[in-house]
Amino acid sequence: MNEETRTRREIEAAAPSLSGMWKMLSPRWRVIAVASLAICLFAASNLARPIVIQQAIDDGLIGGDGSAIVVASILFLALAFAGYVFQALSTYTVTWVGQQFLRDLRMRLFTHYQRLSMSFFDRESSGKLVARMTADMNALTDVLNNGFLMVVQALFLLLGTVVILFVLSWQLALISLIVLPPLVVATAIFRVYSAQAYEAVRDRISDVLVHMQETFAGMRVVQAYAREGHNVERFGAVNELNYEANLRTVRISSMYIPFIEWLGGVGVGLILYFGGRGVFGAEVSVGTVAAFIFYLNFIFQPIQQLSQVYDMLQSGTAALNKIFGLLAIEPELKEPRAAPPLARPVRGELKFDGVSFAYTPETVVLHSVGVTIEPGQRVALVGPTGAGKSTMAKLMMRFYDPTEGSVSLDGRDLRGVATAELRRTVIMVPQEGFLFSGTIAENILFGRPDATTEELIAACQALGVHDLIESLPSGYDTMVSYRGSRLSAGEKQLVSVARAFLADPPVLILDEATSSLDPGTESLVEAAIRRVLAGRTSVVIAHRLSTAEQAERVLVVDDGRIIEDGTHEELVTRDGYYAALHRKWMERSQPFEVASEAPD
Amino acid sequence: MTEEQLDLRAGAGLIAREIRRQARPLSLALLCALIWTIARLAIPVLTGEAIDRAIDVPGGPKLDLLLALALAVAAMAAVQGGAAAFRRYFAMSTSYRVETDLRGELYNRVNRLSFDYYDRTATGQLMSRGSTDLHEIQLLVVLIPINTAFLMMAVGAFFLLLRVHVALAVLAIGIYPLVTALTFRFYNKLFPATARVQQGLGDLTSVVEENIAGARLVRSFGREQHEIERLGRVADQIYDDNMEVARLRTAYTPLFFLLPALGQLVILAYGGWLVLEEQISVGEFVAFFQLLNMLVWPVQGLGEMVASAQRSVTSAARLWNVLREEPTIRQASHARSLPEGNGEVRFEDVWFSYEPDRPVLRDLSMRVPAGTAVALVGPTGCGKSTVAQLVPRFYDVDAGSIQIDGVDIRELKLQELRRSIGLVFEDTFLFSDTIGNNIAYGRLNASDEEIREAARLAQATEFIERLPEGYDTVVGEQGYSLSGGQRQRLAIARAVLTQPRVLILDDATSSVDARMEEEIRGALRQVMKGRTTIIISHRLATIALADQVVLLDEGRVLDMGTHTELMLSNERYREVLGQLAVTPR
Repeated sequence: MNEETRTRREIEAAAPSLSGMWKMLSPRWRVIAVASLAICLFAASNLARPIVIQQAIDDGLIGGDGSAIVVASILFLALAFAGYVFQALSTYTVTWVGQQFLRDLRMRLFTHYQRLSMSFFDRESSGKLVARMTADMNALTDVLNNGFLMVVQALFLLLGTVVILFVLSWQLALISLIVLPPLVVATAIFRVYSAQAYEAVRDRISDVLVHMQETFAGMRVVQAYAREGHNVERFGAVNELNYEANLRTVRISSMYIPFIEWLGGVGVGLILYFGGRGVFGAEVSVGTVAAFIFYLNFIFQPIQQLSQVYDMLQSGTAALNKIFGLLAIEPELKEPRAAPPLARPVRGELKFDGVSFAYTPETVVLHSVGVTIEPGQRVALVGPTGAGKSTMAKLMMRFYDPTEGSVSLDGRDLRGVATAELRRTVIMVPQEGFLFSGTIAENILFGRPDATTEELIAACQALGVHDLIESLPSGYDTMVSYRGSRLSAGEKQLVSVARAFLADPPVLILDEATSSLDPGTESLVEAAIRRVLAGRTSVVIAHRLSTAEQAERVLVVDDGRIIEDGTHEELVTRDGYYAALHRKWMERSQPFEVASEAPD
Repeated sequence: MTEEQLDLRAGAGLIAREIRRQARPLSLALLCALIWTIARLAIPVLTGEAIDRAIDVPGGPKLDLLLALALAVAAMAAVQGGAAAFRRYFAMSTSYRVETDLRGELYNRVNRLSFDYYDRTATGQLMSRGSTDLHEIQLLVVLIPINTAFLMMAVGAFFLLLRVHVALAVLAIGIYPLVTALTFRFYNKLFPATARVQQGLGDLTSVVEENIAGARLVRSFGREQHEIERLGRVADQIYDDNMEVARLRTAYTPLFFLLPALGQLVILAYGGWLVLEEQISVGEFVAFFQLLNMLVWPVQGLGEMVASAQRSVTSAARLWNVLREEPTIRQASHARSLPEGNGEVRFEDVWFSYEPDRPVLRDLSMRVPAGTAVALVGPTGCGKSTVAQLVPRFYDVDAGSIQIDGVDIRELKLQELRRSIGLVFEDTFLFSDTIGNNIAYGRLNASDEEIREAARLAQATEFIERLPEGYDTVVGEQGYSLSGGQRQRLAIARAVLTQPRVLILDDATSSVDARMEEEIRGALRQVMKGRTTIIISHRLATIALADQVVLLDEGRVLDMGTHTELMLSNERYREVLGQLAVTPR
């Protein structure tokens, strides 16, 4: 009962997604109609065959009429070929519609992802978003490729059979349909238990795979701590549990299947006995008895199929709801209706005017920040983790809109600037060098796709990274990817800086890497960063003393407020937060002092 | 990646071995299959008898005989059902048994292998051995008894038909071998096509993952349209591959229905004519129709099984390539226990190479006195990390020897040697388990107090206690994600808990920021007290923790001394460290 109401609720909840799905399918309604018709005609050609045989038996064999056999044979042949044609037609058209729909849906969802604001990606786990595009789409593929076909065919066969049986002999139909209720009940019970059992199998096999994956990936640690023996024992247990879960599914189906087969035999027995006795009069001929026996198959198969499809439809509907649920989310940042272009050339004056910001209403991250960054100024943001430095950077990029106040560029509120133009004007280099899969050249060209190879190389030479790239196995054509790539952290950073340099934006925001880079590239990276910051407005979230020292202006951010503002020299003497931080920095680099002073 | 060499004969041998091991349940399954076949064949025969002797007889139906035959049909159905259940049970449970056993064997084998094997084998490759390949073998084992039953049924049906009328039997059944052959061809073509679809779906996943991971960058550079086009190409490819599968299905599946129907047509036309000629009876006619109907499935199944056998032999051959691997590092036959001592480590004229003719260590000799700390310093590729891998015998030296407290490590019990060495790697691997269990990884029977003490020494107590569930917080891939510094401190706690005689820190502070490094350095200072320690680092502050510094270059010891001594006397040392200095003022 509980399950029933839950199912009904799910179906009601699915209404908007179903209408969304239909909107995408409706332009292809003609093909859908052809497919449905083909499925029905295929089923009909199957349904008609036993009648043809019945005619052949009654008129031909028993009636001794040779021409009836010839007619039946020709009809049978025609039905077989019609079945062939309609089956081929339905197989192709159903897949065509399904795959077209899936391709469109994939593109629509992915395009939607590109439209959504950064806040959305900060909130949602990436695993979930990937699953919408993969696992959920696959669940839909099942429904579209097989589910639709199976449902239409099974329902048509089932209803058609019942109608035909009643037309042939309503009394014998009633008798033989005695097997129907136990069949339906047994199948329903089986479905519940086997669904549970298969869910357990999925859990257990995932335990097995996770355990394997971890051991294989962490093999060095395993052996370093001599844990092999214990692991083998533990895995043995997990492996065995998976076996037992599988065995349970076997036990369940081993109870269901014999019952169904026995029920089929009972059906044949019933038809033989009651049909053969002739109690229902002359209308039940030998041919009719034979036809009933053949038709029995058309009752058993569809019911078993429908129970299979039921699970498929459930997960398909769930997937559809999740996908359309995502599609219904609107981007939080609205594109301005009319956005006149920024005055050229962009001077790069960034102004925070009474800006407050909160990710959630309870936690305010910025408290009415007011600051103006002059055109061409090199600014370092300094402060403890969580002070609001990155939030300020995100507001400058308009990844978020301020909760109160405004951020403006050259006097224009960012909310009134077209996103595409803003993105060309203000570019951010993230903390870790992120690489897209492709060549190094492609990764750098990401910043300005229309740049020529000469421009690309010139930019890299100007940055001092050309030699390093050339020294890689395939130079600029070295393949990299966002997962395993052979580049070191420093090399990735260099590619990332080169990308921004090629894009040449009037305003650059740089989130400095916190971790240290390998000694070989550290100095290269620092030189490249100096070069890329030169001659434009720049804001660096600084984690290093040297970076802060080089800035023209240091803003110390703490607890969502700017607490100190000045040059490095000014702030060091002011005896505030920055001066204290500077002292700590100097202490920490004590060994460095030894290193650089001792040789003198 | 180079194509793997496959020994198909060995693969078939592996499957044969598993089948021999499961001979008992498999023969029970075959016995059930035989009973099932007989019962199943009996039903159409009984139906035919009922028509000929009880229904279609002059003078009206014979009710007693009819009832008896109807009951016999129901009884046979019960036997058939029971046999089907047992056949299924034995077949499926055997197949899962085979899968489970082989997976255990694979797992045990991989655990026993040595580092050189992991260096050349990707985890993903081993995972697909343990999942897809095993599944392929499992599938074949299930299909064996089921298809044997089908085959018996086909043969039985053929003989039943033969007994009645030879020409009819040959004509009606003649088309079925063609169905089997076609099914085989179909699956052979379908498999690569579906594999391409899977490949495409994998590509799609990486594009989406990358796009989401790089969402900020995509927006920052305004490259949304480019990304949409990129996905479009993959989506189109998936569409094309799916339509290729659809074309194969369209070409073959309807044939699997048409051809058997032609067999039935033979019975209808030719059989019908034979009834009129009074060569066969009406009952026999109906029975054959039913028999032929039953064969549609089995003949397809046979083709499917042959295709499956082909694939599973390949899978088994791949599996065999792992199972036949032998560990390169083995314990000596009369291995001895660790001697008493405080962990003096000595390298004597050590030569080592990962690949032939490319020595990484060349005649390296050095001594780490018991209870002291030595830092290995040198440019990238000088061999300092290799040194760390040799002490626990992850690899064996090519020439020379390494001794702990005066004993060559190759003479020691392997597990004991490794337990006596605490290793902290550059990238900390955490298992998806609680923090407590991750710390206790090297010493399972550690008490809660001991775990807490290790955490305290590693200065990890503070952050652990701030976590939602403290020591019971699950971390690792599936759990709570920790920062680099936090992970590193857990690794230090893990190493400390085993109370190692020798502690090796391989770039333990490289992946954390300067502030975090200071905290970790505090932790290290604690745990290094009075313990033999080898530090590998390119961070000055970490190097400064050591009593002695060994300067390595090109696999040799170039110089040795305290940090200050080397700074003052060695140009190369200054050069190597110089790259670390902060930007010139």
